[in-house]
Amino acid sequence: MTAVKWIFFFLISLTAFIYILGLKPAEDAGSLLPDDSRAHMELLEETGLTGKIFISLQYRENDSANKSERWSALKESTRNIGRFLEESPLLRTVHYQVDQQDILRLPERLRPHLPVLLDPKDLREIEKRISSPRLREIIREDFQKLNSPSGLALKEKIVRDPLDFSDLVLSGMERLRGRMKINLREGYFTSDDKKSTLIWGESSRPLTNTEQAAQVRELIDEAVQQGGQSGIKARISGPLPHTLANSRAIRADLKMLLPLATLALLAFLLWSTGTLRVFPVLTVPFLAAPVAISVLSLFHDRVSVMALGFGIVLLGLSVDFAVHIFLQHTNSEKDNLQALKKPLLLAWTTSVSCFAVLLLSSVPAHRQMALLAIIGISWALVLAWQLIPTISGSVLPQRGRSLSLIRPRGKVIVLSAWILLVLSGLLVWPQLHYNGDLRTFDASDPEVEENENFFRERWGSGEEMIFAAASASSLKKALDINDRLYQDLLARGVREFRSVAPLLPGPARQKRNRENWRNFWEDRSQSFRERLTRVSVDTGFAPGAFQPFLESLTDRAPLLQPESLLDQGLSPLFSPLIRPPGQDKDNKWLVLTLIPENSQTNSLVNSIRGEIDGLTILSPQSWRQEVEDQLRREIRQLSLLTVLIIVCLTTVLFRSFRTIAAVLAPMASALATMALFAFFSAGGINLMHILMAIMVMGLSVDYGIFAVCNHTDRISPAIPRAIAICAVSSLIGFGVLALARHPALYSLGITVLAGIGLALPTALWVSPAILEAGKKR
Amino acid sequence: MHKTLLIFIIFLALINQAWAGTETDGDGDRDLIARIKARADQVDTFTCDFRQERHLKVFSKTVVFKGRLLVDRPDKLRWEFTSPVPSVLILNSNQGLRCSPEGRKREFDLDSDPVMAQVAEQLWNWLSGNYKQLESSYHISSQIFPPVLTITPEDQETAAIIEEVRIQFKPRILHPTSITILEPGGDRTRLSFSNYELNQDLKDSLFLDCGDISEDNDGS
Repeated sequence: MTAVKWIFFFLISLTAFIYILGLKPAEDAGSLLPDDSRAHMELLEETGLTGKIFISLQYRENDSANKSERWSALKESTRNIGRFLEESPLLRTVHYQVDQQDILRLPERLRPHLPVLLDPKDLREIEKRISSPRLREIIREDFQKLNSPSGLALKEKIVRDPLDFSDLVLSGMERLRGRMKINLREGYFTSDDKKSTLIWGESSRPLTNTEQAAQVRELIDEAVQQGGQSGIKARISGPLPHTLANSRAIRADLKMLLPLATLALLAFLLWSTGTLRVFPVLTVPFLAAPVAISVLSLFHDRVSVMALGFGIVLLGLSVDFAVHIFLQHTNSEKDNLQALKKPLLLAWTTSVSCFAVLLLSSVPAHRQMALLAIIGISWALVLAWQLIPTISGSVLPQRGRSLSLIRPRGKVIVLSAWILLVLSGLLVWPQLHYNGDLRTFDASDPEVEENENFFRERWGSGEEMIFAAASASSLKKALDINDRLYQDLLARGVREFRSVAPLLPGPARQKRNRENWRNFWEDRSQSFRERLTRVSVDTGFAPGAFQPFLESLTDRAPLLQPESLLDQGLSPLFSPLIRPPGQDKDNKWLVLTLIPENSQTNSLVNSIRGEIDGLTILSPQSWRQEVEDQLRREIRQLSLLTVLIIVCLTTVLFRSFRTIAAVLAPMASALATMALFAFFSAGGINLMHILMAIMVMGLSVDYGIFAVCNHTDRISPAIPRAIAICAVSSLIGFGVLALARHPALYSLGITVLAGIGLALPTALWVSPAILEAGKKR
Repeated sequence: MHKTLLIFIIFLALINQAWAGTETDGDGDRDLIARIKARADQVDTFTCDFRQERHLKVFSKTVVFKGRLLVDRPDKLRWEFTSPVPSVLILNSNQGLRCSPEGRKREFDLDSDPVMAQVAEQLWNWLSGNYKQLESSYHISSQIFPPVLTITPEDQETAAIIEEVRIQFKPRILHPTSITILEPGGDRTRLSFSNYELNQDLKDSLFLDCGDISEDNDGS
């Protein structure tokens, strides 16, 4: 029968294990966000923000090279590194240089399209230029320019565009740059002080993915090593260093703490049980892991890596059941395993109920974590109940006095101390501050911060930006939508924003402009012609000098095809704001406008939201605030619901007030201690604290249940020892995380240390004291 | 007597003809270029007057401007028109300044202004004295007497603006006396230089500020 049991359960585990070998967990940051905010996260990914890489090259200070040598080294490094990176499939785009000739030729390329590029406001400026006094001034300047050393280079331009209408369009180049402090020097992107150059690009996958981030980092390091000249330093900014810093911090923490926790745990278990048999027994619950993961994957297409990791950790709760069963089975007294059924089932009920509350969360990772824990704990209990008695072996001798047998003198003192603790916790609870800022979980790294500061100071304004994305199946349609936003923003007085609209209007606006141009010159061309001829001859020009220009005023201008400006030479100027299809799930063109975020622009943009079809507006700062507010509300509700469910369950299951109080006493201690710790450490409480608090509540209620059942039903003297072993194991296993450098792991560890630390003595000393209070000896 | 004189005169004319029209081979080009550079290397600063004639189709007649040129090698230049319309162009390393008679000043940076960078490049090409550096992108041929360099751009972009440049030098002294720039379509510009003053102390302020551009300032 034993053999059959083992074969049966082993086959189930093996089948599940084989099934999960084909599973690909998703490293999806979106799974940590509420469902209705994921659309915004996806938009951020579609804009390429999560894949952006910025590499600042600078010459190291205190070098003896002169300015010219430094610039040569910087140029060559930029070119070599840029070319190296271009070759890699890990990067979708790399920009490090613009062809100077393309910049020089831009006015010439745009000239035939001036009538479709110039807006009504530009026509008002033209009106001023063609008036007599101004016209005379401009033509005289043209005459002087043609006779100056720059006359050779400017002759063609002056003859074809004497009033410099191109300048009205080219001022739109400033809109592409916005407040970024980027200049062009010999085609390279340089800082104001000319001591740095910039290479930027986009990864083929989001850089919130650790594996991708590591590969890209390796690529950049190799590029810098091979292409960088001596004396050149490279700094990387963007999501990549943050992802790697977090990953590094977590790995460093786990590398140090996992062996420490494992050794400490093994040593403790060996010491407390006195037998090596405890080890195979304690691995039985973990056979539940493959089954739990398989069932989870049936309910969810994409299993989150984070949920998986957390879930496995929570599975460790089921080790408590294995400890109770093992110790009960090896107790010196008559085998009372059946007596353990009631507390085991009660403990299972409360643990599962705690996690069931998380199934109501709007965060996919929380729901997955909860389901994994529920299935895992349930199946682990079945495995433990069925299999541990078959391998526990013979009765074990009791080893000396254990912690569980230590009783403080005086129930009054114990109860008083406990009441004081709970009241203190209640007192500080309303004053606790919930820190919903998700950035507190970002592992800080001095080098990363230094590079971010350098980037802001050297290249950017450091402002948060609002993203407005015009999306459509074709570029022309997307540009039309973008134009509506452009004109709306100008009409509402917003001046500072980055947009392609001045240089790349959509077809609808181009046609309107062309019509406006035609109407403008219909009334004016004859008188202007005469005036120009007279003024130019007076100045020294031949009568027909500007004939090509005059003819162009009434020619029908062709529409500007946007693809003609997006060719290789000029693409670095446009690529940050124009995203071709294939990079978003809908396979659409995205045209972006970036608006500096402040209270004025926020309210203006909010009034535009929803008014323009095909336009999505995302304000990262506001979105982050909304997500944090939503998580805060939700986690507060869920934790209150957890407490309520536990209270209701224990009320239904135990009925007597004294018994209920005894069962809940450890939980009250745990919550009070966590509140006091948060209050005195002045760090406030965060999402991680509350998620682990739900687990601690489940654990501490279990201790209360076992302590109360044992006290009332006299199950076994092994139970207090089992409670102690379970609690200390949890303290060791989770508590070491309080030594972690990563803020999320630290929060996790400190919550368990504080909560379980006081829940254990409460279960062992206070719960019995409550049950015995007022009773005659 | 008359017959002897006639033969002598014919002989002189033939010799003169031979010298005047002597084209050189490659070695001769390089020799002249080297001699010009050697001469230019002896000059740290120079000032001179210039006369510019612009023959453009868009002008109703040939336009003549006069002015003064000041150069402090290797990277400072002041090109000042004094008539008919005064104006100044200053190059100082990578920075530049343009001033008009109306008082308008415009600073520019050659690193970020590709048009002015092109202008500066052309000016230094013709005035630096180091024509050897042009050999990679221009074809250069020369004439020994009078010394003339004919420079033809080989790349299309420059050739679209300049067809040919002829620089004539004063014999023995080898200062440029004129520069003729031929443009596609028949336009041309001729610059004539005179009244050279070499290795004078030139004030730094001449290359930092336009000053009063209506005065004739020779650096003293």
